[in-house]
Amino acid sequence: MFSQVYTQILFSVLLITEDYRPKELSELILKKDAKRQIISWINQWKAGEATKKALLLFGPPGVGKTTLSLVLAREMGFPLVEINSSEKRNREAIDMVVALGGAYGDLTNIDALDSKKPQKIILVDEADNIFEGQGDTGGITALGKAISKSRNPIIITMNEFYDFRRKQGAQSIIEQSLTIEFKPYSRKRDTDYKEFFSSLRSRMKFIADSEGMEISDLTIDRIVENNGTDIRAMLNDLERMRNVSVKKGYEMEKTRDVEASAYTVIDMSLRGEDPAETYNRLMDTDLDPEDYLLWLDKNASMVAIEPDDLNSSYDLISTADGFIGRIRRKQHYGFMAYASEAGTHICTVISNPNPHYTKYEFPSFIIGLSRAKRVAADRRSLSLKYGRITHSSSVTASKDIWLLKMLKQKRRKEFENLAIRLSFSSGETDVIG
Amino acid sequence: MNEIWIEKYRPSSLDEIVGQDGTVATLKAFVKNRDIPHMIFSGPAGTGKTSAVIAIANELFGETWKDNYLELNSSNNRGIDTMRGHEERDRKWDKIASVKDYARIMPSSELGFKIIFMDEADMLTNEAQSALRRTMEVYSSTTRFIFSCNYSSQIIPPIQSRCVVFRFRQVTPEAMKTMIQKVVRSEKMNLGESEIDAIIDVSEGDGRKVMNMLQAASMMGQVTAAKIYDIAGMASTGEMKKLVSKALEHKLFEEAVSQAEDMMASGGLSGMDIIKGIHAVLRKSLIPPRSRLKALIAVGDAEFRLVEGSSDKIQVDALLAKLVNIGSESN
Repeated sequence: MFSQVYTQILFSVLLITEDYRPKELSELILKKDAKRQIISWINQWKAGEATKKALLLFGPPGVGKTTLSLVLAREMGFPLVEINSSEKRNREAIDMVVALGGAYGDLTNIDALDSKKPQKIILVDEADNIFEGQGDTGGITALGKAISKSRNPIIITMNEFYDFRRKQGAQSIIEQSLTIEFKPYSRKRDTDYKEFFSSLRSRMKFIADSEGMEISDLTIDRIVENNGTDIRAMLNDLERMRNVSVKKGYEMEKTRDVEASAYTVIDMSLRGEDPAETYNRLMDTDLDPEDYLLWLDKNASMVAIEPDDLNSSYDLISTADGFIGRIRRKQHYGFMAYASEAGTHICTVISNPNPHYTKYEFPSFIIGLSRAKRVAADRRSLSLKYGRITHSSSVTASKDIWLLKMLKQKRRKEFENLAIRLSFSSGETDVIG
Repeated sequence: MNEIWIEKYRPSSLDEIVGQDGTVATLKAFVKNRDIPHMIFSGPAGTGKTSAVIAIANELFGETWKDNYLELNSSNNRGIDTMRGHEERDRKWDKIASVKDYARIMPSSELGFKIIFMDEADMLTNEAQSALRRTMEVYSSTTRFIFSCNYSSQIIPPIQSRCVVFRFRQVTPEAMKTMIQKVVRSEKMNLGESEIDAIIDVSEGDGRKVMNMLQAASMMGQVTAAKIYDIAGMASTGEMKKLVSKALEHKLFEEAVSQAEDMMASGGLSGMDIIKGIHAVLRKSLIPPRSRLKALIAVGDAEFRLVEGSSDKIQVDALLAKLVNIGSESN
């Protein structure tokens, strides 16, 4: 159910990402005022007078949120009890962790019982993955209660704060937490990035040297550039370079970065002259045909700006998608080639491409997809429930959702009665708007 | 229990059903005889088909009507995402099996039969309908089937021949007015002639829409005809109209794409919902007939491709691109 992070480290000691995890707060690349806030939070806990019981860290993956928790535990000299997303975090799970590691302190240590001071740090990693109704029922609400009961500092990490904030029960967590955005540098200030970049570069170089790896400065730069703010990914790249026998003078290609190569293939597909060459490049990327088509769908309109060209290129994308559909239904993978070829030939149907430079974008719909599916499922179950009392199919019932919205806004009491009678879930209520 | 007026004002007896005088008279005769045949109720949406079935069950079985009544909606098992192939058919077979199970149970009513109501029966495939045929025969002593559909021609002849077919007609404005006035009195609403006319106008003979509009009006404060037209636009096609006009009239492809994406990601609509919605808007749009024809064919094509294809997103975007193109050709 929960694990000591230290054991995890023991098992993964052979990995660079674990070997070179910063051991002290000073080693972490983090903005100064954030560091200051965290130190004062930890000092309050040490003194037994914490105003905020939890520390909520959010930011992109691989910037050091988990590492910070490890460092804090080390500096305070407490064990770290962790629940992460690989374990089910429903109500009972969180209650149990709190019971064992939180509110009641450490039962084996009698002296500690009357002490107000904490005995361990509890880490709830990747808390934005606590989804209500997906096996984590009541997880967020339970976590909020756990914080209020806890005698020990709780650290919560997540990637997406703004989505989380809207979830049921999230407010109570936020009120009890010191919330810190974990960003290594601000995009607005160039000097920040330079600082970030150079400190990472020297860190990578230090690690490479300690491992006795011979890597050129250019390759180090590439590794840092390719991975944005994701330090974990940088270390993984370095790890991979250690494992291949590094030839002298070897320069790293832009390998890990799927996006970088996707950009090239998309550019070739829309503006290139040689579809066959584009096809070869496509085969070299990690893009599967469905993602490839979504990339094209996202970006074709930036090159095909004239209505005729626009129409012809989307027609090709849609034809290609038709082949993918047939692959699914007929389980005949021979169609795959046609789908990809339709995509690589789009350049041939764009007669007047956008003369200006195009900045291609990642197809955000891929990210939104799981959410879209969840909302669609909520909409359907809402319509089924509503259809049951109005004797109509879900399709007919879904056309009346506007009325439910009006009821929700203008007749709160009646809406609540209906919600109770039909036991609307929070997702279904959200669909109503 | 009465938050929703469709439910609150659902007729509990045949007398309360408006605008279907001939049909209701015959149905009342059946009820008086304490026996009914298998029946098909065909007619447009909101003309009282479902209400008639419920009223019959009510009048025949009294308080225990729910024990002797099974309602199945034939379109419900077509999942928004599972519009394709075998999956759909398999589910229908499942349902037919459950109909059979229910038909097999002895009725608890003293009349010796129970009612199975297959709503939107025209959504059943021919195979599914054929499977029902046998069940109807075997269990006809203990079960009466009532089917509702928009067109009785969609029901296979063997079933039709076992049923008495009733055609429900579009409810006339006068009959609608009777229904509206009853609600207005009971809710003590303050509605003038022009507002009532507006409700009848936007509801297009659909009693369900009338009820929804009335309930909406009751939440409006000061009701005006203009507000009613506003609400009706919002209720049915407001967003879709915006989507179509972005693509077709203003050629704002990217804006249309992002609106459609939002409707799918946050609104929970499927690609098919959007394509059907675009279709509904185009039918009534005032663009030149030649462009409209092209656009309608494009929508049909998109629907075909969606059934064939794998990504709602791509098929919807491709349709929007086509609409942009049609829009620029027309001027």
